Amino acid sequence: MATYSQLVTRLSAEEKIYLLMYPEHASTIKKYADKAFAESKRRFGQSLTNGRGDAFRHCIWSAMLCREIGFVGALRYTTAHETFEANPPAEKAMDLHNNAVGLQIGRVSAPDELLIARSLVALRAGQLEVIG
Amino acid sequence: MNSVDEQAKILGTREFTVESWAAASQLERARMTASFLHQYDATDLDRSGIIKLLGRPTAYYNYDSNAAYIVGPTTVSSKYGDGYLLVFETDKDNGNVDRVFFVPDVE
Repeated sequence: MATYSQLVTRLSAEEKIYLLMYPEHASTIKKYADKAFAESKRRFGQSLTNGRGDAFRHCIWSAMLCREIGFVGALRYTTAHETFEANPPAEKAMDLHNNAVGLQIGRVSAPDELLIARSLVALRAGQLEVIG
Repeated sequence: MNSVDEQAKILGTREFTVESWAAASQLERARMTASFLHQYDATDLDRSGIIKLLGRPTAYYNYDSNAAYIVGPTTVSSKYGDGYLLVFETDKDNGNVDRVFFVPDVE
Protein backbone atom coordinates (compact mmCIF):
# COMPACT_ATOMS: atom_id res chain seq x y z
CA MET A 1 0.00 0.00 0.00
CA ALA A 2 1.29 3.43 -0.90
CA THR A 3 2.03 5.86 1.88
CA TYR A 4 -0.03 9.00 2.09
CA SER A 5 2.90 11.10 0.89
CA GLN A 6 2.98 8.95 -2.23
CA LEU A 7 -0.76 9.28 -2.65
CA VAL A 8 -0.58 13.05 -2.33
CA THR A 9 1.34 13.24 -5.58
CA ARG A 10 -1.61 11.50 -7.28
CA LEU A 11 -4.34 13.72 -5.94
CA SER A 12 -6.52 15.97 -8.03
CA ALA A 13 -5.90 19.70 -7.82
CA GLU A 14 -9.11 20.07 -5.81
CA GLU A 15 -7.97 17.48 -3.29
CA LYS A 16 -4.60 19.17 -2.90
CA ILE A 17 -6.31 22.47 -2.21
CA TYR A 18 -8.51 20.84 0.43
CA LEU A 19 -5.54 19.25 2.17
CA LEU A 20 -3.60 22.49 2.12
CA MET A 21 -6.51 24.03 4.01
CA TYR A 22 -7.07 21.09 6.33
CA PRO A 23 -3.83 19.10 6.61
CA GLU A 24 -5.00 17.60 9.89
CA HIS A 25 -7.64 15.64 7.95
CA ALA A 26 -5.09 13.82 5.79
CA SER A 27 -4.44 10.84 8.02
CA THR A 28 -8.15 10.38 8.72
CA ILE A 29 -9.00 10.46 5.02
CA LYS A 30 -6.32 7.87 4.29
CA LYS A 31 -7.25 5.66 7.24
CA TYR A 32 -10.89 5.42 6.22
CA ALA A 33 -10.11 5.06 2.51
CA ASP A 34 -8.08 1.98 3.45
CA LYS A 35 -10.81 0.68 5.73
CA ALA A 36 -13.48 1.21 3.07
CA PHE A 37 -11.37 -0.68 0.53
CA ALA A 38 -10.71 -3.57 2.90
CA GLU A 39 -14.38 -3.88 3.90
CA SER A 40 -15.52 -3.77 0.27
CA LYS A 41 -12.98 -6.33 -0.83
CA ARG A 42 -13.97 -8.64 2.02
CA ARG A 43 -17.63 -8.51 1.00
CA PHE A 44 -17.46 -8.16 -2.76
CA GLY A 45 -14.12 -9.60 -3.83
CA GLN A 46 -11.64 -7.78 -6.00
CA SER A 47 -14.00 -6.41 -8.66
CA LEU A 48 -14.33 -2.96 -7.19
CA THR A 49 -14.84 -0.72 -10.20
CA ASN A 50 -18.32 0.53 -10.99
CA GLY A 51 -20.08 -2.49 -9.53
CA ARG A 52 -21.76 -3.12 -6.21
CA GLY A 53 -18.46 -3.26 -4.37
CA ASP A 54 -17.47 0.13 -5.74
CA ALA A 55 -20.81 1.64 -4.77
CA PHE A 56 -20.53 0.21 -1.29
CA ARG A 57 -16.93 1.42 -0.90
CA HIS A 58 -17.83 4.99 -1.78
CA CYS A 59 -20.83 4.89 0.55
CA ILE A 60 -19.00 3.62 3.63
CA TRP A 61 -15.97 5.84 3.05
CA SER A 62 -18.22 8.90 2.88
CA ALA A 63 -20.20 7.77 5.92
CA MET A 64 -17.12 7.26 8.08
CA LEU A 65 -15.52 10.50 6.86
CA CYS A 66 -18.70 12.40 7.64
CA ARG A 67 -18.64 11.13 11.19
CA GLU A 68 -14.94 11.92 11.60
CA ILE A 69 -14.50 15.32 9.92
CA GLY A 70 -18.08 16.53 9.66
CA PHE A 71 -20.61 16.70 6.86
CA VAL A 72 -19.21 19.79 5.15
CA GLY A 73 -15.61 18.62 5.19
CA ALA A 74 -16.53 15.14 3.98
CA LEU A 75 -18.75 16.55 1.25
CA ARG A 76 -16.01 18.88 0.06
CA TYR A 77 -13.28 16.25 0.07
CA THR A 78 -15.25 13.41 -1.49
CA THR A 79 -16.47 15.79 -4.20
CA ALA A 80 -12.92 17.04 -4.78
CA HIS A 81 -11.85 13.40 -5.08
CA GLU A 82 -14.09 13.00 -8.12
CA THR A 83 -13.30 16.37 -9.67
CA PHE A 84 -10.75 15.87 -12.40
CA GLU A 85 -10.90 16.26 -16.16
CA ALA A 86 -10.44 12.62 -17.09
CA ASN A 87 -13.16 11.24 -14.83
CA PRO A 88 -15.84 9.72 -17.09
CA PRO A 89 -19.14 11.58 -16.46
CA ALA A 90 -21.20 8.45 -15.80
CA GLU A 91 -18.68 7.14 -13.28
CA LYS A 92 -18.41 10.52 -11.61
CA ALA A 93 -22.19 10.76 -11.31
CA MET A 94 -22.37 7.28 -9.82
CA ASP A 95 -19.64 7.99 -7.30
CA LEU A 96 -21.09 11.34 -6.25
CA HIS A 97 -24.51 9.77 -5.78
CA ASN A 98 -23.14 6.97 -3.61
CA ASN A 99 -21.03 9.46 -1.66
CA ALA A 100 -24.17 11.50 -1.00
CA VAL A 101 -25.99 8.46 0.38
CA GLY A 102 -22.99 7.72 2.60
CA LEU A 103 -22.82 11.29 3.84
CA GLN A 104 -26.42 11.06 5.02
CA ILE A 105 -25.73 7.74 6.73
CA GLY A 106 -22.70 9.24 8.48
CA ARG A 107 -24.56 12.23 9.89
CA VAL A 108 -25.31 10.23 13.03
CA SER A 109 -22.47 9.35 15.35
CA ALA A 110 -22.25 5.58 15.18
CA PRO A 111 -19.49 2.96 15.18
CA ASP A 112 -18.01 1.72 11.92
CA GLU A 113 -19.97 -1.52 12.09
CA LEU A 114 -23.29 0.29 12.20
CA LEU A 115 -22.37 2.64 9.35
CA ILE A 116 -21.29 -0.36 7.31
CA ALA A 117 -24.52 -2.19 8.10
CA ARG A 118 -26.60 0.82 7.09
CA SER A 119 -24.63 1.13 3.86
CA LEU A 120 -25.34 -2.52 3.10
CA VAL A 121 -29.03 -1.91 3.70
CA ALA A 122 -28.89 1.05 1.30
CA LEU A 123 -27.21 -1.10 -1.32
CA ARG A 124 -29.74 -3.92 -0.97
CA ALA A 125 -32.60 -1.43 -1.05
CA GLY A 126 -31.40 -0.12 -4.40
CA GLN A 127 -30.47 3.29 -3.04
CA LEU A 128 -26.92 3.07 -4.38
CA GLU A 129 -26.15 3.47 -8.07
CA VAL A 130 -24.27 0.85 -10.03
CA ILE A 131 -23.17 1.02 -13.65
CA GLY A 132 -21.64 -1.56 -15.94
CA MET B 1 14.04 -4.34 -9.01
CA ASN B 2 13.43 -5.33 -12.63
CA SER B 3 11.51 -3.02 -14.97
CA VAL B 4 7.87 -3.81 -15.57
CA ASP B 5 8.80 -5.15 -19.03
CA GLU B 6 11.34 -7.53 -17.54
CA GLN B 7 8.87 -8.62 -14.89
CA ALA B 8 6.22 -9.23 -17.55
CA LYS B 9 8.58 -11.45 -19.52
CA ILE B 10 8.89 -13.71 -16.50
CA LEU B 11 5.16 -14.36 -16.77
CA GLY B 12 5.27 -15.54 -20.38
CA THR B 13 5.48 -14.64 -24.03
CA ARG B 14 2.04 -15.33 -25.46
CA GLU B 15 1.07 -12.80 -28.14
CA PHE B 16 -1.39 -10.14 -27.07
CA THR B 17 -4.42 -9.29 -29.13
CA VAL B 18 -7.52 -7.49 -27.91
CA GLU B 19 -9.62 -10.53 -28.75
CA SER B 20 -7.38 -13.09 -27.09
CA TRP B 21 -7.06 -10.94 -23.96
CA ALA B 22 -10.83 -10.56 -23.74
CA ALA B 23 -11.32 -14.31 -23.90
CA ALA B 24 -8.40 -15.26 -21.67
CA SER B 25 -8.36 -16.40 -18.08
CA GLN B 26 -6.52 -14.47 -15.39
CA LEU B 27 -3.63 -16.90 -15.76
CA GLU B 28 -3.47 -16.57 -19.55
CA ARG B 29 -3.64 -12.79 -19.35
CA ALA B 30 -0.46 -12.79 -17.31
CA ARG B 31 1.31 -14.54 -20.20
CA MET B 32 0.25 -11.75 -22.58
CA THR B 33 1.40 -8.81 -20.52
CA ALA B 34 4.91 -8.74 -22.00
CA SER B 35 3.53 -8.76 -25.53
CA PHE B 36 1.06 -6.01 -24.65
CA LEU B 37 3.77 -3.82 -23.14
CA HIS B 38 5.96 -4.47 -26.19
CA GLN B 39 3.19 -3.51 -28.63
CA TYR B 40 1.93 -0.45 -26.77
CA ASP B 41 3.64 2.31 -24.86
CA ALA B 42 1.07 2.64 -22.08
CA THR B 43 2.34 6.10 -21.19
CA ASP B 44 1.03 7.26 -24.58
CA LEU B 45 -2.46 6.19 -23.51
CA ASP B 46 -5.04 7.46 -21.10
CA ARG B 47 -7.39 5.36 -18.97
CA SER B 48 -10.01 5.09 -21.70
CA GLY B 49 -7.34 3.99 -24.16
CA ILE B 50 -6.28 1.24 -21.80
CA ILE B 51 -9.90 0.14 -21.34
CA LYS B 52 -10.42 0.00 -25.11
CA LEU B 53 -7.56 -2.47 -25.33
CA LEU B 54 -7.91 -4.45 -22.10
CA GLY B 55 -11.57 -4.07 -21.26
CA ARG B 56 -13.14 -3.12 -17.99
CA PRO B 57 -10.67 -3.11 -15.09
CA THR B 58 -10.91 -6.18 -12.91
CA ALA B 59 -9.38 -4.65 -9.81
CA TYR B 60 -8.93 -1.44 -7.91
CA TYR B 61 -5.74 0.40 -6.97
CA ASN B 62 -6.21 3.35 -4.64
CA TYR B 63 -8.25 5.47 -7.07
CA ASP B 64 -10.95 4.75 -9.64
CA SER B 65 -8.86 6.71 -12.12
CA ASN B 66 -6.22 3.96 -12.15
CA ALA B 67 -7.05 1.04 -14.45
CA ALA B 68 -5.94 -2.19 -12.79
CA TYR B 69 -6.17 -5.84 -13.81
CA ILE B 70 -5.59 -8.99 -11.80
CA VAL B 71 -3.43 -11.44 -13.75
CA GLY B 72 -1.50 -14.61 -13.03
CA PRO B 73 -1.76 -17.33 -10.44
CA THR B 74 -4.01 -16.96 -7.44
CA THR B 75 -1.23 -18.35 -5.30
CA VAL B 76 0.26 -14.85 -5.38
CA SER B 77 -1.55 -12.48 -3.09
CA SER B 78 -1.60 -8.88 -1.93
CA LYS B 79 -4.15 -6.74 -0.18
CA TYR B 80 -5.54 -5.94 -3.63
CA GLY B 81 -6.44 -9.49 -4.50
CA ASP B 82 -5.23 -12.94 -5.47
CA GLY B 83 -2.82 -12.66 -8.40
CA TYR B 84 -0.56 -9.93 -9.67
CA LEU B 85 -2.17 -6.52 -9.99
CA LEU B 86 -1.16 -4.86 -13.27
CA VAL B 87 -1.62 -1.17 -12.57
CA PHE B 88 -1.84 1.69 -15.06
CA GLU B 89 -1.48 4.66 -12.78
CA THR B 90 -2.84 7.85 -14.24
CA ASP B 91 -2.14 11.52 -13.70
CA LYS B 92 -5.42 13.01 -12.52
CA ASP B 93 -4.58 16.37 -14.05
CA ASN B 94 -4.36 15.13 -17.62
CA GLY B 95 -5.71 11.58 -17.47
CA ASN B 96 -2.59 10.07 -19.02
CA VAL B 97 -0.99 6.89 -17.77
CA ASP B 98 2.32 7.87 -16.23
CA ARG B 99 3.40 4.61 -14.62
CA VAL B 100 2.83 0.90 -15.15
CA PHE B 101 3.76 -1.67 -12.53
CA PHE B 102 2.87 -4.96 -10.89
CA VAL B 103 1.78 -5.41 -7.29
CA PRO B 104 3.53 -7.34 -5.89
CA ASP B 105 6.68 -7.28 -8.01
CA VAL B 106 7.09 -10.30 -10.26
CA GLU B 107 10.28 -12.05 -9.23
